[in-house]
Amino acid sequence: MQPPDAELLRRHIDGDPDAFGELFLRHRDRLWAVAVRTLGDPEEAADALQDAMISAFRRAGSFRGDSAVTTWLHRIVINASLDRLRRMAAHPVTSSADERVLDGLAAGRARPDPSSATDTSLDVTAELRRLPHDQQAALVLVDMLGYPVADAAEILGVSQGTVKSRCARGRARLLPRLAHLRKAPGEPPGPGRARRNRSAAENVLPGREGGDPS
Amino acid sequence: MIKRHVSAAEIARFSEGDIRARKAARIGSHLAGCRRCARVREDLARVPALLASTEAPPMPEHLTARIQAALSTESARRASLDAGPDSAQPERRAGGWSWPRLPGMSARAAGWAAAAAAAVVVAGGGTYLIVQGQGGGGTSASSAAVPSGAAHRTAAGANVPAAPAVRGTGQQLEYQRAGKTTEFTPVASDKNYLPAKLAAQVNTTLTDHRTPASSSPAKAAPLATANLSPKAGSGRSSRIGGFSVGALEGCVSRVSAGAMVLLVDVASYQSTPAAVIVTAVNKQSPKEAWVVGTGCSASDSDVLNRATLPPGG
Repeated sequence: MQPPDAELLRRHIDGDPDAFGELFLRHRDRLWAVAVRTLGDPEEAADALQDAMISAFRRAGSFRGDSAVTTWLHRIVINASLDRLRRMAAHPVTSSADERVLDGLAAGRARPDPSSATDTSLDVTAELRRLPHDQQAALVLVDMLGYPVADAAEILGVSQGTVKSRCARGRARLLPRLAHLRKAPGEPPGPGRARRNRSAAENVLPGREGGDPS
Repeated sequence: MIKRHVSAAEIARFSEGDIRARKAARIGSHLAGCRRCARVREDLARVPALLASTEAPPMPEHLTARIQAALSTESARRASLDAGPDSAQPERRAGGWSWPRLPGMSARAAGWAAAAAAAVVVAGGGTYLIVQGQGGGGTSASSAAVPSGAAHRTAAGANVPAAPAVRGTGQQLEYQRAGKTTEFTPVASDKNYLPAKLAAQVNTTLTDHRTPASSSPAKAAPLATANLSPKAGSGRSSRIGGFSVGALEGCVSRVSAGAMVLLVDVASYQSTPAAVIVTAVNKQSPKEAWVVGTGCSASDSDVLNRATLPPGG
């Protein structure tokens, strides 16, 4: 029987040198998914996750137990990811980052492994990162990773209504950008589908709140 | 029915119940009679499934290992801090990273050490000089900045604080430590490290690159002025041994994961190009030697071997 999360965290606070590492291993897949989905780049995601884990390690004593340990960890990871996203936006591409990419290519390691992701997921991830960060975080948790709205609200520290609102706005913004990816089940390929996609892209403008006059 | 079409944002919020009742009623009746808006609603309803259908790449093992290593380092740091009030408390310095202030070291000396980060790393009660080395083997591009074959065993100097950060010589590199940019200068010992003798070999390298205990930092010579070549700043793409400078910097940041870097030796491991990075959390903690392959970078540790050396010494 594995000790519960809270027990591991308590051991960590009491000085057990391995307890926190165990906690990380236990939840790393989900935490990783949050980071890599938010940042879109494995390298950035690993940096964010490492920052978050070190931060959680140090701040464990201030965890008050009013939420689940996993919720607390998720919150730290998503905040670290959003911090990194903001920094990336402020300094889009540094030369050393370019260099790292080139190094990776030279060493035969393509950074984002193209075989591991479909075109669709690359596109979706790229579009997702153009959303306002609060909308992106909500969509990553709720739509991509399937967290219940209540859990997402707790992780993000906002009300459920706010999560729903952010998800709705984010989906509306994504819609025209994803129109070309949308699989329309039962619809024959060809002009019909193309026309329909075009109409979605043209008529549903992102962020338009007022509605079009007809 | 409303004549005006409804925006996608409003339809999405309507679907989420995120719209006031009266307006929701109007939107509902519009949707009932407007094919175009109803279609937008259908499309919106598919977005979650589309997002859910994307595959998240699994976490690469080496990244897991890297974070585990960082947590281990953090554990060791915590243990040593808990060990007693005399433990080296990191001292925050503006614009630099935290240098542990060692017993017997004046605040001024600690400050000096921080300023001279490029030349000296203090650990274990001794002063390690990180020797700028061309060595014989492997360095080539960087010789544009430094005469080939020149191996400057620098003795650190009082005027070091004046030394500017020199990027681009291919010699004086930077790594990230606790969010701060810190300098290091790799050596090139030309050694061929072997698994069975790793700890002993690393200890020898450390000893070779350490000044006598009596050598006070204040007497040490400045960073090799050869570093301050006119080419400074032009050589960011140069290589040291089998490593590109950029990758090596990222690698050292990655592997050290917040610990002090005592030594970076660009050499060989089992006859293939590799680097040995020696880190320590502080004076009391054991030193760790990491052997990394040329694939090591900010994104990939490429650790080939690892050994723990006794603290101090």
